[in-house]
Amino acid sequence: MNRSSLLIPFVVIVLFTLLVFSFLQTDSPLTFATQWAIVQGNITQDFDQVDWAFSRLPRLAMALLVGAAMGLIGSVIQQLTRNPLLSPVTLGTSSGAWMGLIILAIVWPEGQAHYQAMAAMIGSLLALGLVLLISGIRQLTGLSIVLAGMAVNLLFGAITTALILLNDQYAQNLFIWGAGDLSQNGWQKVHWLWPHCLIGIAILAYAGKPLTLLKLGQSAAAGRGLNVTALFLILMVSGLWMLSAAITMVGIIGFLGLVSPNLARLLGARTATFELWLSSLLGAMLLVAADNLAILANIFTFTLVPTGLTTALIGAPLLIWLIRQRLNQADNTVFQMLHGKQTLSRERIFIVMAAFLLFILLGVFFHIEQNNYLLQWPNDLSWPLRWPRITASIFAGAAMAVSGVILQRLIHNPLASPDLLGLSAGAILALIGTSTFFGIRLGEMGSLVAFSGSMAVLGLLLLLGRRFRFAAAPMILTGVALSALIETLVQFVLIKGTEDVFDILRWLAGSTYRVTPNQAIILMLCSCGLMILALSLHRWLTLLSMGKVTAAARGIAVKPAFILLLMLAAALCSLVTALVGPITFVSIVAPHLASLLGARHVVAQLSLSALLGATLLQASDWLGQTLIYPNQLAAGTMVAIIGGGYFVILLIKSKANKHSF
Amino acid sequence: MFELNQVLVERNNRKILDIPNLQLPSDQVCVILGHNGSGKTTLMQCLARQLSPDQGEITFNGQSLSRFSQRKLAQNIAFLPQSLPISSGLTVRELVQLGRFPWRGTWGKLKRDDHTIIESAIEQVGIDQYANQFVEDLSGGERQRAWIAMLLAQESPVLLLDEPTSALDIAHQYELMSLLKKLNQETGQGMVIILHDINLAARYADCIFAMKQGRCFFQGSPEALMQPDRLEALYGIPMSLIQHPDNSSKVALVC
Repeated sequence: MNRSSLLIPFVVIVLFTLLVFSFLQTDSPLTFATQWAIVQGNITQDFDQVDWAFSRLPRLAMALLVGAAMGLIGSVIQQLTRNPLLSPVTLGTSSGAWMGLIILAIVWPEGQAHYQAMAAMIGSLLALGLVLLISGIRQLTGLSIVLAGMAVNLLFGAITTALILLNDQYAQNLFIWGAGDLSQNGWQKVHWLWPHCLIGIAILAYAGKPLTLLKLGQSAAAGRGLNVTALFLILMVSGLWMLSAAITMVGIIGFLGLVSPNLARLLGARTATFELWLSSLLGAMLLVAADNLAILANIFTFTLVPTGLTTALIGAPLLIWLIRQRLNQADNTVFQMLHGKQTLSRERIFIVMAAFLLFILLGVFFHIEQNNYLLQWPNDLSWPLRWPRITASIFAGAAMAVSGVILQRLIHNPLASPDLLGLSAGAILALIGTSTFFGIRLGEMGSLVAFSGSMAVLGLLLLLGRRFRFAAAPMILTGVALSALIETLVQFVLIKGTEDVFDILRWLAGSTYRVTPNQAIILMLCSCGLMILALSLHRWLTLLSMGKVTAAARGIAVKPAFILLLMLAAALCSLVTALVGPITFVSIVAPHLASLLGARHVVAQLSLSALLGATLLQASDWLGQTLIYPNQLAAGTMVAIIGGGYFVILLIKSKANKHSF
Repeated sequence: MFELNQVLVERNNRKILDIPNLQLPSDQVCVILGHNGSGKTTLMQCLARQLSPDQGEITFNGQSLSRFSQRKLAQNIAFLPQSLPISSGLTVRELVQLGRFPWRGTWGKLKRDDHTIIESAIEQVGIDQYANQFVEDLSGGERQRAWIAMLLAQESPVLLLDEPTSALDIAHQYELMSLLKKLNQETGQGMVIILHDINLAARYADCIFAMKQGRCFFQGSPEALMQPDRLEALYGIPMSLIQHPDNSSKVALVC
């Protein structure tokens, strides 16, 4: 090792020591001597000393443990899959663990004493299994597994939200967890956690060699005698074990597992073992820094600032900066859809139309009265409530579907959608932000506020994506970073305005029943206008989905056309988000369904997707009303569950037909 | 007529393209030759305005290339890149139809003339029996011809083709080149084509522009290039020429 390669670890260790030191000093009136005495075991009854010894020190220990664990897990995942975009969050495993915890809390509260880590572990394994099922074991190094992970994230997130909404008594506590909280009352949690992390030491010691071999690629490593599947299983299971333990203790803290390994590689970690160590160290540092920031913010704003938020505040810009440094993706990807039957036959169209009409009719005529199911004309009481709701479902579904088609064709990826790019998150943040800070009720928000939120995110994406000439992977990753940051901000805002929490949560679930007649009409007119505009630009979409080179060579001014179409997709998405709330999955599922039914041409795909989206959302709305009567599940949640589930099935089936994106 | 003036493209401190002065005719069949990495594709991308040179200027028919609007450019120059994108879900006819975009624009309706042009383009390349099939279901050669048909439907006076023959078997290579030559003679459409095969180039080209390491090595008629010493200097491998048994042309062989 020469001078320069020793410099970086040296600098890192110095920084680390500084961070730890400053962490211990923040807002603490104790002198060094006192602190040193405490560490040696001499603690008096003084409150400050007790606080430092039993709250600050364990918090530091927890931050170090969790940060190092996350950094290590992130590095393991990225080295196993040779995919720099993967992390416990983008792999969907964090939300799986989260869902496991919530289900345990609801279904078997007494079990929480001993089985939390187990529940989290099962949840995360489930998520991982699902993601692998969707993207395939051979596609580990591509963009598709990241998007599959985000899709699973959305699905499990929706299920978890539904469960929380239906069981409000657990919600407040779990909320904080959702955002990651490191505060400690004594050393119990640290004592519980550290044995779970012992396996990390084994990984650090022994995983280096097989991981180095894996750098050759899966088949080449197998050719040298490595049992790749066994390695994968052992490392993933141990990693998830640590992850579940960490999440059980502190909740979800994102970005660490994604940023630390990338940062380690940027700082020059070339060998597997060095990367594992450096990544753990950097993870610990980042979390200590973020937690320090959270403590300071606590002091200055008098509110509980979850560490998950400050991690996101540090991590998201860091990630975006990393993207600019590292990714050099050429725009060679071309739009490829799931291939279905060849032609769109008349019968198929009729079936879809019939389903569409069926669900509208059910929405209009189906009534439940005193546990009886009736079909009758809606009376004067129910009709004014029903028609706005039905109208909203239909046009919101159609608008989101069209938005999805546009984005998928522009970004050349079948999983691209406004939610994954952060466009809905932007709208949500704008709406919730103005609602909380200006005290206006959510229902009366103008679509303009939501639109400006989406546009802001879009503008940011375009600005950041300009460097890569809008290639798919960097844009999507930037969108992922932005939406993760925004979601954490939303969580923070929710924590601040506690009275409206359930209101906002319900709105976040995407509910059609709050839609007033005026809003329904605005939604109908505006979405129709935008959809017609999209249809008229079908030539642009056709040419752009063949790649920028081809489009330019045929006479399309690529940059303005691209930006205009993106704005159109954002407008559709923000329109729906403003009037109904965030609706996920329709924009991913409907285009694929349309394509599987045979709609290949842009016009056919746009129209059929709109129809399918409308049907899907209306069906979800109706099901959400009737399935668990008298409780209701919001249409948005329902469609995420139905749509997500069906989507997963679609993907698995199409993978069986040997298609990969 | 393409005119290049002090054109320079640099990547990683390496001069990929360095052309102080060049005039390429745009009414003949002009072939660009050169070894791998000689800058041929970069040159073509500059001519098609897919890439802007770091320095220098390119004019087309007296007007600066950067002044053309995208549609106007497509009406004058039709470009086919080396790697054909997968056209998802389009039939051959729909693909060829896209060639009319520069003339009809975003919202213009296709008139009867357009359909005539489309049909005749399909016929000219000889894939009429596949006109209603999906492009991705065709073989490599047929797909190439479908894309050429699209370029023909674009009806631009200049065609730029980056290695249109590399995916084709030998019969189709010659077939395609003779089709292009015929088109040039019938309609006066100019072609600038990048080829690898020196014999294919010598047979069909009106003029040849050979590149070496980003610079111009030779510009002139095929006969002037077909000299053993010139060929060896261009390709760096000893070559000799023999008389073609059936006609008066020469064939280059590697020694």
